[in-house]
Amino acid sequence: MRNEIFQPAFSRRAFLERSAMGFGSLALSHLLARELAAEDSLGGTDLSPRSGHFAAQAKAVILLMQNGGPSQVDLFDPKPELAKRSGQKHPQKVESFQPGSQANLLMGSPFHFRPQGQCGMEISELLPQIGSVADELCLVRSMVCDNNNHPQGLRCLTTGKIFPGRPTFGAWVSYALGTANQDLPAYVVLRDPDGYNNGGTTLWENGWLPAQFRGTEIQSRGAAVLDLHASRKMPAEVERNNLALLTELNEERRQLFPRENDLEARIKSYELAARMQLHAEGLLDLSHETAATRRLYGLDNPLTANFGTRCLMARRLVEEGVRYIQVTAPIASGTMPWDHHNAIASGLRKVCPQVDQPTAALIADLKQRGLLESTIVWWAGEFGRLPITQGGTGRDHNRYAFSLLLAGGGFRAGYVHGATDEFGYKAVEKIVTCPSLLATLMHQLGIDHNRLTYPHQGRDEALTDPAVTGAHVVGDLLTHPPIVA
Amino acid sequence: MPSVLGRLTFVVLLAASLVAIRPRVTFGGDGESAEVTARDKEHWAFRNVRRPAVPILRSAERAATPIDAFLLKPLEASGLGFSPPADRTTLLRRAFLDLHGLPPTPAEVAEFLADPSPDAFAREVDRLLASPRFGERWGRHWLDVVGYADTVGFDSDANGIFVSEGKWKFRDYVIRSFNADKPYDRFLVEQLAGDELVDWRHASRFTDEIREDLIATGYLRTARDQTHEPESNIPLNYYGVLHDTVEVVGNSLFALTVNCARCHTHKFDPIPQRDYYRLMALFTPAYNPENWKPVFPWKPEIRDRALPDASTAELSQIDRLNADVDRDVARMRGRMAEPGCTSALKAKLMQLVAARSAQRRHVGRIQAIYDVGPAPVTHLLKRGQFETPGPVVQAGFLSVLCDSSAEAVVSETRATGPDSGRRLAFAQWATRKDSRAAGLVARVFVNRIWQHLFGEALVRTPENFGVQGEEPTHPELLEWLSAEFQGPAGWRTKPLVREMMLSAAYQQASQSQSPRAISGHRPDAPSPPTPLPQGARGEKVPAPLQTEALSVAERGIARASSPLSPRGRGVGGEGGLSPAPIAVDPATVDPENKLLWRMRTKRLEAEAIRDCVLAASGRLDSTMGGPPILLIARPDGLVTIDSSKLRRPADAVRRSVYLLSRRAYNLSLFNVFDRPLFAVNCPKRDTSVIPLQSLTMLNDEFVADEADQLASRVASAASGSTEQAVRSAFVLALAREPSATESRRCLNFLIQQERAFEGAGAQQNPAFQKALAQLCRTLYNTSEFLYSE
Repeated sequence: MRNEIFQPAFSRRAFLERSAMGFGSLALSHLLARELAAEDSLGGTDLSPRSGHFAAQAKAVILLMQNGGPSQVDLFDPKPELAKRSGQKHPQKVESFQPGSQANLLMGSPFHFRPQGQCGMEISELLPQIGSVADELCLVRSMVCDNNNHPQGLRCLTTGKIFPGRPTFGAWVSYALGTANQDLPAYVVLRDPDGYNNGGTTLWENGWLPAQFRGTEIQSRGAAVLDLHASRKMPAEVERNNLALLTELNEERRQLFPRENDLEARIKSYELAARMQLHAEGLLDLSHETAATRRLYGLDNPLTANFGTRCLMARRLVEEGVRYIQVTAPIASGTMPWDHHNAIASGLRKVCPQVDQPTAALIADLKQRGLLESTIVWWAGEFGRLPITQGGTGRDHNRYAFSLLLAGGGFRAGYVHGATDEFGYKAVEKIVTCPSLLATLMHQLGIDHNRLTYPHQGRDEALTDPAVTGAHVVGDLLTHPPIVA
Repeated sequence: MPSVLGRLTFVVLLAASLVAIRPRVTFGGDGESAEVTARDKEHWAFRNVRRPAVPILRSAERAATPIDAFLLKPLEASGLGFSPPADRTTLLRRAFLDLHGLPPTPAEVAEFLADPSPDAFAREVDRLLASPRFGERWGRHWLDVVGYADTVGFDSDANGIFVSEGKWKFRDYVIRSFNADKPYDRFLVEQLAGDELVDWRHASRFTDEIREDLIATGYLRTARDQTHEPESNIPLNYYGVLHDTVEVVGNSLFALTVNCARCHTHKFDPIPQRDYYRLMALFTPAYNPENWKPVFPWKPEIRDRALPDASTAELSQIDRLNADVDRDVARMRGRMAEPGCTSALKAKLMQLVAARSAQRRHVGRIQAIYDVGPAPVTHLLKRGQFETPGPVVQAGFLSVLCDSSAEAVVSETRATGPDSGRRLAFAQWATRKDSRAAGLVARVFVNRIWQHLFGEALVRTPENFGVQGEEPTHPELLEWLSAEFQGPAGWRTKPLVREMMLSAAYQQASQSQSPRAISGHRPDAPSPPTPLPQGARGEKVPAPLQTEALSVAERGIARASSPLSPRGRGVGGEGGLSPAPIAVDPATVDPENKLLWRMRTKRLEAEAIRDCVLAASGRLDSTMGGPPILLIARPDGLVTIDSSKLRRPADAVRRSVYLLSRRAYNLSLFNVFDRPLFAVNCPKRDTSVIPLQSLTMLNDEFVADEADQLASRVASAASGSTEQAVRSAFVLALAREPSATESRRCLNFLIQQERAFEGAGAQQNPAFQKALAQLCRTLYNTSEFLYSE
């Protein structure tokens, strides 16, 4: 009901939808389809699949979220000058977040970088498996973030701005495109079964978009979805009888209120819940996967099983037609596993092996199944880390430069984009902001970020808010960049 | 050929008229110097409230109150009218859900149905308003508007729960205020400047009044304050609190997006950037970035923002008492450590130590706001960044709501003693009767009351009364209600609620009339039909209500001159049973029901759903107030009540308003039923329909447990009769009797389920009890349970 009120632009459509529901008339749905096509802005009130503004290169997105701020100079962005002048003072005043970096001393990375694959992309020895799929990767070394603190940084990456309460990217995508599989949510979150990361559920919020676009957690352990099964085991016949009575009572009541959409939707939501109960079941069951696949994702290794299981589930969800999947970082090394304020070398040695193999496995597996072309995988933290030391062994937050990985979905494979200064403190070439990255991801999904809006508090809000953020599609990252007139 | 002069005149006139008629769709663009013009003040929300005359209707049969006249006028113009009155059981449940968020008990239903007097419903409304359950329900609405949370910081970590000590006192204050029907102007003054109303700094002891006024300022402590850890105790976060506070105040009082003017002059509304910082300057003496008090003491020596819940004199007395206790305890412990101390003596001393230690007094805290010292200079912040201060601004108000530019700034001579007096000046300005500001404040609040009772507000963007918001569907009604509220109702909520509920509009049926069913009869009437005496149906109370809300003059007019009651007391009498034939299908003319030709159904809010489940099962504990019931975020993602931290077992079944309020990670049941993420505040809840709601109601342990409880309750009420059990389950869960068909269907269901359980090995009696529990569980799952009809 709320949508009708807040969407003056959609009022006619909302009316048609309502009428269509009541009468199920073909003519009306036809009219509705035309109405949709005629409107400039995408978006709907349900999860039925919708096409974008233009032909999409990718159908699905998998975000491998890496909370805490992975250190670009130790992982993706080799800096020989930094190694050479390790221990000397940084010539500039460096912006730090916490105390401990006042000495302003450069600290080179103890890790070696080697060219990988045909493309020769340099990646740290900490991530050998990711290095092995370098030819599939688009490595952006010139990312910047709007804020130096985790909550704001995470929001900047996932919602385009640092302010709380805004919808996350996955919610916008579900709102814009709906989803192919009506038996599963459009936006699925696979989190560590042991707990939440810093930022928790706020990283898959719907903000002021309708609630059906919120990310739904599917568990990799126990029941797939919260309350998917009755808290007590009941004979199947009892459950059937319950649903039969419920449907009758609801249907009878609904006839008294023929124009209350909600009541109809509620009956449907029980049907969807029942279908979810059937479908979500199978997702958990990884026993049909071959031994080779299980090994590929590292399911047999306690170090990689946690993240690997969820990466494998992500692939299965893509096969099922789920639109957007977020896999959160493993929390075995903390709820912000990449937040290495101290002892960064040993910290990285702990975290990297947990995600390296599963990440590479997911990319290789999607590739071999022909799914990588139509699936975007992105691996990203909220910001980077400083080239100077914090307290002698750690690195503080850095919003001026970080690196992230993209693969599939029409992103340029084997390509390195942008560059940072000699120490890796600031991005200096081909800088990419978070909103521009989101605009580019949207473009690959067939969405024009300028035209995907939602009315909120008297304003047509957009994920990227280009008028304020200057967001634009970064054509260089794409195999088929948009033609700019 | 026209003369040159004529042509020139024409051009001048054309230009002048273009200027005059050009609608102001944008504002600003002039950066900091944009000035508000007289025309800007003409926007409907910014004008002074003027009481309109109650419209005269062609046919006033259905007009029970002036509200009805305002609603019927446009309905008449569209060839429509109200729907027939709702049946009395529906009406009773509607009133209970709206005012208490709880269903009526079977006894209350029976009593109401047995009362044929014409004012039965009016008396019912009075009873409901007088009950403390009213404040618990309506207090929660206000807590939404102000963005209340018990926790500190962003609260974005599932298991990192920092509860702000004593914050709950504000929640209880709000509930108390609604129960006492505190005038809204007073309520606002206390919340904005309670600390300036009393001399708490020098009081020898904290009286109830002092305590109440300090607690009230918790309203200004709802912003997310990140300064609860050393590394977050930085200017960025100080200003974050200030910005959020301006946003909450701008939104909760004025329904304006004042926050849009933080970085630049507002793009649409006449709010110069300067005005934004004038508002901020109201709060800088308390939230002083140069003299910051963190929100939470992360080390014992940190002096945080909270005040001890005792005066300085009381504190030193308590300190002395505690020092005595500590000295005695230390002495006894010393004795215990002496070599000659026997075990018997040791045991005795242990007891003494425990007894003496128990005499230590703990002083609670009040999460208040107060000026922390001399007021700092407040700057306009360029691009909203504190790193780039612009010109100095004076504390002040929104120019668009002021008649002169002098009125828009706080005179610094007001300052007395340690208080800047800025917040008190602001509160008085915002509530000064008949001013532009008070007019907007009243409109915004009245609109919210309407929204809670009628499902949709008159201004359907209750969060935005600016030029980008929607215009009121019934502008004159909004003006009339706002005038009533400030004048005869004396800013009190209850008379206004009563006035709205006694209207024919509120009491009409919500079922939409399809042309087929236009007679108003339900296809399937309740099984023991309740014959209603003429006139009592729908409580057509004659126009002049026994409410103080109506001015005497209005009453006179309403009674004497005919617009409202042309035939004396017979207002809508027979109209109730046989509505005037409706020539047009209202669903075609007004599909969105903007004109209110039928009552709207309302999905219950998350908290009310839980409370209704508990009320039906009979387990709801009605204890009021006190520290929040703690929650736990389990690894599987469910958020439940933390049973390990309950002070008493019954705390697990208290009303939802007393559970821990977090910004995220609230009870899972709340989360799936649209309890918002409280980033800032929430003027309007969403009412989504998502499969997780169905899964929760079907499978959640809480619902299953309460269904069992309800089944036992039903069984003991039914004394062996299955028919009686079905009736009892319906009355308890849905506050109505089942229809004949429903009854038949449910009886069959019970037989089926009993067999199914027997087949699965259950013994006969438990099998029936189990079947009954499934019936109860299913009733909890019906749409009807989740909606007020």
